[in-house]
Amino acid sequence: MSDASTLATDTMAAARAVSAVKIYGSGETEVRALDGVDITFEKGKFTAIMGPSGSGKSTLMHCMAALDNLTEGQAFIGDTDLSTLSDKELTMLRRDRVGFIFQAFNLVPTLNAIENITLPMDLARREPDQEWVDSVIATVGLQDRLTHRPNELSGGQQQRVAVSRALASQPEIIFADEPTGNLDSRSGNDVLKFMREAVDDLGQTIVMVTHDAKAASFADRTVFLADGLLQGEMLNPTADQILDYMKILQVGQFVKGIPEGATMEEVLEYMKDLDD
Amino acid sequence: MTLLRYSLRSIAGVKVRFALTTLAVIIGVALTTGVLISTDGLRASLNDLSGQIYEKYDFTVRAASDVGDRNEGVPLIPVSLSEELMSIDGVEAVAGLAQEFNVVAIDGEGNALDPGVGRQIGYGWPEVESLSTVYPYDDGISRRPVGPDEFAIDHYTGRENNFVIGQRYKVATPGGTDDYELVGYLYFLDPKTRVALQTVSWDMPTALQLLHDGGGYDHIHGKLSPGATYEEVAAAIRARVGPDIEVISQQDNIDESNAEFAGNIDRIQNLLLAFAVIVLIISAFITYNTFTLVMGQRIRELGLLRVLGAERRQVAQIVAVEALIVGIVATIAGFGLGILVALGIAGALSSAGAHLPAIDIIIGGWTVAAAVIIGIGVTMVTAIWPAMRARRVTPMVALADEAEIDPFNRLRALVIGSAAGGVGLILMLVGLLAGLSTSQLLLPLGLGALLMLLGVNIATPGIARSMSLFLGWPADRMFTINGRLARLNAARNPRRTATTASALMIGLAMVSLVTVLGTSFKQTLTSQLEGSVEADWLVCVNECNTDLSTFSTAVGAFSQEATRQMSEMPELESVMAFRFRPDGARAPDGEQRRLTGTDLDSFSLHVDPGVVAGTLDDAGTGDVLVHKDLADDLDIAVGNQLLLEFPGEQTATFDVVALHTEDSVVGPLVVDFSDWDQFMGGTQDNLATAITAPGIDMGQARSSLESELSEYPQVVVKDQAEYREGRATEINTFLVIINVFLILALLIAVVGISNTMALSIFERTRELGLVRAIGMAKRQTWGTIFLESIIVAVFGGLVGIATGVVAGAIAAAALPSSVISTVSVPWLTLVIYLVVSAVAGMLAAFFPARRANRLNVLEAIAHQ
Repeated sequence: MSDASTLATDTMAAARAVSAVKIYGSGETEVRALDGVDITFEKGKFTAIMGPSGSGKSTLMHCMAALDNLTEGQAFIGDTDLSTLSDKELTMLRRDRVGFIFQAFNLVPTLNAIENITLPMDLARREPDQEWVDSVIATVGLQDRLTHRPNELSGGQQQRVAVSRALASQPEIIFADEPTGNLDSRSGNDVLKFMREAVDDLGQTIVMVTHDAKAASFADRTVFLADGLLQGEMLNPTADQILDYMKILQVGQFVKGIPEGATMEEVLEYMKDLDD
Repeated sequence: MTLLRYSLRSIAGVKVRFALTTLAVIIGVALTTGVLISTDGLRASLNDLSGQIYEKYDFTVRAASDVGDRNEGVPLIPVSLSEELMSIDGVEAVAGLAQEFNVVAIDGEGNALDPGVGRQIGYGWPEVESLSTVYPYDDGISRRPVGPDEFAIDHYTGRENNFVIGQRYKVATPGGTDDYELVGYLYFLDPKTRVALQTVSWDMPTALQLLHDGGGYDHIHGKLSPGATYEEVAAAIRARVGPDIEVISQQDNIDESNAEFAGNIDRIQNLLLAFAVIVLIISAFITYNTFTLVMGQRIRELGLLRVLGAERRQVAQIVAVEALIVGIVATIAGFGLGILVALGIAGALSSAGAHLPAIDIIIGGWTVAAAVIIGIGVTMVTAIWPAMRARRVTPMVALADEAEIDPFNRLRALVIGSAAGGVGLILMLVGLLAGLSTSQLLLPLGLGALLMLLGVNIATPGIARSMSLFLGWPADRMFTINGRLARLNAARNPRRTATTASALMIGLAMVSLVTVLGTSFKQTLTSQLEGSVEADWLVCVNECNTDLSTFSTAVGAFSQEATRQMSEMPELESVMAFRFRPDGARAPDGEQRRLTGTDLDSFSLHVDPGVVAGTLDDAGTGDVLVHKDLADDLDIAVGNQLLLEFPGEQTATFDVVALHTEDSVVGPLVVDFSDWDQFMGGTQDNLATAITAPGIDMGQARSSLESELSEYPQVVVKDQAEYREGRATEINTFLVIINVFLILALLIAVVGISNTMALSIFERTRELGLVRAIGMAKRQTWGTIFLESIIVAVFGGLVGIATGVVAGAIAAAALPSSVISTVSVPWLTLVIYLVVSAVAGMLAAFFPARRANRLNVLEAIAHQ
């Protein structure tokens, strides 16, 4: 707990998890989706969470984003401990402090683009900051698509609406769950560029779950998750470096002795040692 | 505002489903408001009519009476009373009134006129013009009848039945049948006024003789001299006449007339409202099911709203606001349609022969309130459960896999459904076993049946899969792959299959319930008649109704002369007459009851009253036969005395000589003719029965009877079976109306099935494309979809019929044996209902199947 309290004063943390454990089911069917994860997401940074299917990366995101609760441990948005909040307070937190981007876009099909973008603020009965919303829309280039319904937009355009929706309410942190998973590479690139710009130009904090190394290469920092445990991280990696690391990580499951949190250079070094 | 906009948008997004949900409510609102608007209009125009009828009469003198009807079978007052009244200061003019029902004109072809649901009346033309409400028709030749050989007929009846002025026609009156010269058409109040009466009129002396055997007037209407007040004159009259005569004012007349109209309108209104309620219950279930279905489909979207920061309350509000919008739209549209329904009801009543004055569209406060309560209230109530479910939606469902979103809990559906249905069943059984009175029974039976329906509705998804597989088995066997696909598709999504089937299920449950009650009622009547009617022949008017019918209190009657002629026929061994008067006598408990007059000691040979105590041997004047149920209510037994009050403030004490159980022919109180003549009077019989003499065959007896009675063409001769069938006519009519509602329920159901089928086909676009791609012919696609729809429809029909039969049988058994003693389930009719369901299912599949076949195979495969 002393560790947690020192972290709590860390003004650079937009969100963090402390000894996060999430267990699904019980007895024979018990699954430990998160098995004690400690992680901090810094303010104004673009962080990618990578890992194979079933690694717990989506679970981590859901619990960090106040969508699901942890079995043990704590999750913080800013200084707020999510486990202390009621359902209503969690709702308020999602509404006012968190933004979301999903793989399946998740736009409301009956509302047009601009209505989807301002929906979170409408739900909060809050007047949108029109100047800000306009600048967000200008950034993603949706000016002439605002009155179109989702089914009249391409996948890339829909995801840009979703990105705008997440940015429009100026949340403390945006969680993106495989935002490019349903897009062709060009549209995906566009969306990632917008996310990058949001971090660089607007100071936004973004946490993105992905299994696409190319997408992760847009991030400032990439963390790797497997079997519900943090396996390591890389700063400003290229896509190729990530792919290499992923391969090693899979091999590493069978090779004991790679220190936890090792950088790629250290791992490559270690592998060389093994070869010798 | 956003919530409202969001709700409006989501409604606009699913226009068809919205329209369908709304349609169900609209029909319920339209029927109810239509009934209320038309009956309000009817009431208003009949109240106008009351005002017009009594406009000319400042006061009316009549026999004092607080038993029985004020127009039919009233105690007569002496003709000489009018002279006495004229001698009173302040009386300007008086005119006696003589009228009698069951006076039937016979047309040029020798047929008696059919009264429809109206009445046939003989009327004495008032002798004082200023006190007359009938006038000769203004056609240049019509005039009022004068002398014993002339009559007039109302111009609607006359012209519609080709009565030609100047020709001679027969008219059947209480005095017998005779022919008269038609000297004119008459009209009542105004040439355009039409009432449900066929009127035949003579001059007053002739009418008094023919209608009342010279006995007197029904009423005497009077006019005040200028300056005289009603109070002074009434006081003067009361001082002059005895206590058995009363004076009433114009306003009293109008009030009495309005009250009588109101009673008739209430009866029609209640009947119509009962049907509206049935339709309303069906609509409520359809609305509920549609909301629930839509909820299931939108759960991911609602989860998304929760992710984006919508509170639980807001999500529930969205569902509620949508229900509110449906309710408001349905109320407004239903109200508009209700006005059309009102016009339709008025038209239907008129064409059925209940010629009514033109009905104004009157929209009362209650009608508006009813429309709002039904339209908005019912919709909101049906949305409670879906809204509660919306409240429980978690943000995670927006992100979960399709299968995890809204897992169907079969056990839960079965448990909750069985619990609700079980409570309903117990309630009904309590009604069956607790020995409650008929009025106390209605609540447990009605509520129990409703709960059973609700329970079955909740539980059907739980059995949808196994039932679909079971019902689909023959299709699987007969149609190979089409049948197999149809069967598996029907079983695939139990919740959707149940929702699709529910409209048909609810509709058929209600219809089956009422059908079982109706047939049991009919079976009770006919089996009772089989047990009691001993006579070979039954002679009566129309269908021999002896009791209050749905639309009128009319009991057909014919001259006693006909009965007398029958008794002289050698072909008949014996003849018996019966007279009935609804509300003829008041028992000590204050209730007026039907009175029967006959030959007390010998009628059992013709109609067995089922004597359970005492004996009718040597019964006669001063004796009464009492129905056992009534005796129990009054706490009397054989040997006790019973005080009865009759019309005209007459009372008499009778000896209870026996108790009986029959109540389909004779009523609860039977007295001898000697007492009837003294207390009730009248010169018409309502029913005559006859036993064929030994050695005469039935055919011979019938032809002799018919030729003997040829002077009375309104009279029909029936054997036992024909009589039973005739008595059941009204129940048959009722069952026909039920079938009309079945058609209505089916129409709603067809639209419902069609809609849900279209939806599931859209969801299966890719799969359909695939089977087409690998070689399924269009014809086979048609077959698959038709079969699936039929399986679903038969499932709904079967569950509905089963529920309706169980509820109906319990209700029938619970009702007292005087109403229903035999529970009868009309299996053939129910099988027909099931076949009709299958056809409905087939019809419903047409558009979805056509759509499926228009899919482009390549695009379908690419469909997400």
